[in-house]
Amino acid sequence: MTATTVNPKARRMGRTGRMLIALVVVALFLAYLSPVIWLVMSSFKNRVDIFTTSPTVFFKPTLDNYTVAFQDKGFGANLQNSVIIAVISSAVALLVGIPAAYRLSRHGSRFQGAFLLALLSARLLPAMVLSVPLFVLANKVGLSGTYLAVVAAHLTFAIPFTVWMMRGFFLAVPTSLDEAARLDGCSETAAFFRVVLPLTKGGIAATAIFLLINSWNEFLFALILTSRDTATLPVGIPNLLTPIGTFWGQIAAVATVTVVPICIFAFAVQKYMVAGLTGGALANE
Amino acid sequence: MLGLVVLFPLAYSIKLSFQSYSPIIPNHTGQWVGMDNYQRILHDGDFHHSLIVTAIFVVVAVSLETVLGVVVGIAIDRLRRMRRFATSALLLPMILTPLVVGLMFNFALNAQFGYLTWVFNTLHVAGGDGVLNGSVGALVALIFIDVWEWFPFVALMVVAGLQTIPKEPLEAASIDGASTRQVYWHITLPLLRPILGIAILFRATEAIREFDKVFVLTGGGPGSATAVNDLYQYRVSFLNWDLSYGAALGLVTFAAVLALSFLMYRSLRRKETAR
Amino acid sequence: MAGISFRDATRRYAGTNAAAVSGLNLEIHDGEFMVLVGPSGCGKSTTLRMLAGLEEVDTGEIYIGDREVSQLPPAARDIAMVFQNYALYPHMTVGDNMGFALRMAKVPKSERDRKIQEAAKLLGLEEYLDRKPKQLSGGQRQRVAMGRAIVREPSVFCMDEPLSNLDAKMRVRTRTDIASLQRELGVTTVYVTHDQVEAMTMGDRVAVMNEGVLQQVDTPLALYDRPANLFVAGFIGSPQMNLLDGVIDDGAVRVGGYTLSGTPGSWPRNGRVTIGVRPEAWRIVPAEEDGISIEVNVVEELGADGFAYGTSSNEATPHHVIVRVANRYSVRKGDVLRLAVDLDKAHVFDTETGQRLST
Repeated sequence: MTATTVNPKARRMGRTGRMLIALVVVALFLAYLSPVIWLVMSSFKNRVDIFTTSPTVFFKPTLDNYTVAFQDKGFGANLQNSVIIAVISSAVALLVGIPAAYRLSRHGSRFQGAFLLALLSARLLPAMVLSVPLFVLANKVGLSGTYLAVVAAHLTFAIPFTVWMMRGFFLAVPTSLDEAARLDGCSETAAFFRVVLPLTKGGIAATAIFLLINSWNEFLFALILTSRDTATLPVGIPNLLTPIGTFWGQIAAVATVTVVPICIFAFAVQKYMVAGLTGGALANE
Repeated sequence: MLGLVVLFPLAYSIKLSFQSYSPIIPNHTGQWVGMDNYQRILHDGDFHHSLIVTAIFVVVAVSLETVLGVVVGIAIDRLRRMRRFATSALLLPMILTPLVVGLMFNFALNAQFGYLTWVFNTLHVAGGDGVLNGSVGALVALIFIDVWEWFPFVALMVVAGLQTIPKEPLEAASIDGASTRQVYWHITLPLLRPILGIAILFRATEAIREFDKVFVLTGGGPGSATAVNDLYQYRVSFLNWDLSYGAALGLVTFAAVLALSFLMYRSLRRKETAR
Repeated sequence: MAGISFRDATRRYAGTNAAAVSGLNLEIHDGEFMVLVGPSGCGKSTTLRMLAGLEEVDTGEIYIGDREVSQLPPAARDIAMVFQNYALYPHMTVGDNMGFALRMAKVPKSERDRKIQEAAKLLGLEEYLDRKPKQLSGGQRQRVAMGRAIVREPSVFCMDEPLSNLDAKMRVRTRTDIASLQRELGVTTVYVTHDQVEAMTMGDRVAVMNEGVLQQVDTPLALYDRPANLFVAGFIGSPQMNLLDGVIDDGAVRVGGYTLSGTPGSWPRNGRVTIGVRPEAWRIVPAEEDGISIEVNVVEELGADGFAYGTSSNEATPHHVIVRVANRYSVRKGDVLRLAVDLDKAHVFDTETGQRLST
């Protein structure tokens, strides 16, 4: 937008010029995304097509990798575990984080600054630092290998994320709206549910989706806190890299299944992407 | 709630770091050892090596991401009809499961049948035994992959930042006779500096904790060539089961990350107020 | 309907030394239109928000009618408020916005609709009831905000700078609309503004505030004619009152070498004073008469009359002086004018305390 004013050349460019630019852009991005494309293609290839020294672009697609991985090797269970853990941890994070974020966005208290700083530090906390105590604690109380242990571990980043994200959305709702609602006869809680919440629906949906993606993608906590029965998809996949041989076709299939839902979700919240990736540190859009 | 899920484990970790605890090493049953674990850090050559690897990885990767991100961000900003397509395509790598990203490149760079190996061989840019099997090649590959995954973050921030820049200074500069390139260099980039600072801060603090991709790409190898800090800690805690020492290493890392981000944030702030 | 009474009401924000509003005593009569005016940060909005229950009252009491309300939640005070940014609920239609309070009060739908219709008719909003606030112009939104207040038939209207988001023309029109609407409904109204013209034209009485302290409460004309202190003198009136440095010397009031004519008031025999002269209070006199001379820098012709801005050559007040000139083109840039003023047209203030000395 801004560039057009300082660059009259762009405006003078003809149709062919623009077509050419479009072609170059598409080609660049095809090359850029080729690892992803290659992975998805490989998931439909049979062994022979995968293990060739020069890449095969045209092949006869097969669903064998999917059926073997999800029916015979039990990745269906991993899929289910990923869903359960992501949904529960996101729901808890929203339930705890939204009221906290609302309070932080409205009442200027003395502790607010300190609390926000603590939240920020919590977001800087490397997962590796928490993994040791969480592992030892989970073993001591006998929660190791349960959903609860992983959910709790995911909450360590999910709650601070929710508070930061939602605080931004709540700050965008003028305080005078809650005040008007309270003068109109609402209690503080009713003002929140009837006025503020409907106005931040989009923000809550975006936060929820980012929570799901973050939990879904998480690897380290899941690796050390789950057992065979509760392992998520990212934990399960490396099992296919065995000393006897690597089942690349099946890896590609499971990886594709891991990645497809988050892609769909991500494009639904594209306009909140900057906010989501910076955890609400930067405003939306 | 936050206290329960974060502060308690953190406090427990501090306690653990002054003990000697391991589920498998004999005589490590949780007795107090004072500062022993921290003293060990000072003389741990493997740890120091991991710090060097981490430093190289973070500095090179984040620098490349910043430069590439700015260039691509500005280019995207100048696109018109392709703009939406370009931003969508850039989003993809960032939201992909990091473990899958690692696997994907492990696959693509496979010495026998990886399609990127084939490309490299055809162009004669790399030797025949696979990039990941050489210690330099593996680190370069790791950096390359991180840049592939994360330069869009900087680019996206630049695109967002460019939209908030007021038009008037740009117009004033072009009236003052600056060429397009001069406008970018003298006006746009300085105006983008705050948002770039935030982007770099985010990238640096995240790159310091790199684990998933290394784990599945090289496992830290060959040898310890790509054993970044978090991977080394993983080896200590969950391969050697030296959990107390792992706790101490973790706390030292956290303190370093906090200090580093505080310093970066401060210099960011100071530049802001100085203007 | 009810009067309002502030009794020693004080609001102090945490972490600040000075009170936002300190020891406010103010009686507002039933059905009165009271304007709170002052520069930003003077405590006028805090006062209004304390009345509405959006701000705590740290010490003192507030009565609406004979009910002490300072501890009641906003909803229990029977107050409607018009906000500066209107605070319309963006996700509700105009009708729903106006009816929200009634819905909260569980008023039956038929009665609710009737009241909404009535208010909409009064404000000319009938065709917009199904629209969302976003689809309305600034003036229409303002009227919806008014409508939302009217529908409730409250005992008090609170208005917090309701005109400041409108353009100049709209503001003048809405000003008279609000004033006449209030007179028609007869609801006690407290209106906050920083614009002294709004205050003067709308209020039955005007309360001038500065730095958290009430300066003066009176009818607009009384404020103009007898400002109680230097702050009110400088704040009310446009262009501003001229404030000249002077002395009382044995009862006589002097500005430099110029002694004002007229009967001295009952002020001290000696002391430093500030003399306030409204631009229209000057007499332009021949050069040989006693007075102060100014050289005209700028003449602002407003059509009916005009104002000349000049620099005084008087040794005591080498200030800018503003004088109203009645006749077109009688004064030009560069002219030297001789100005005099009678004591009964001037306002004498104690420079030290700022308090009014003349009666």
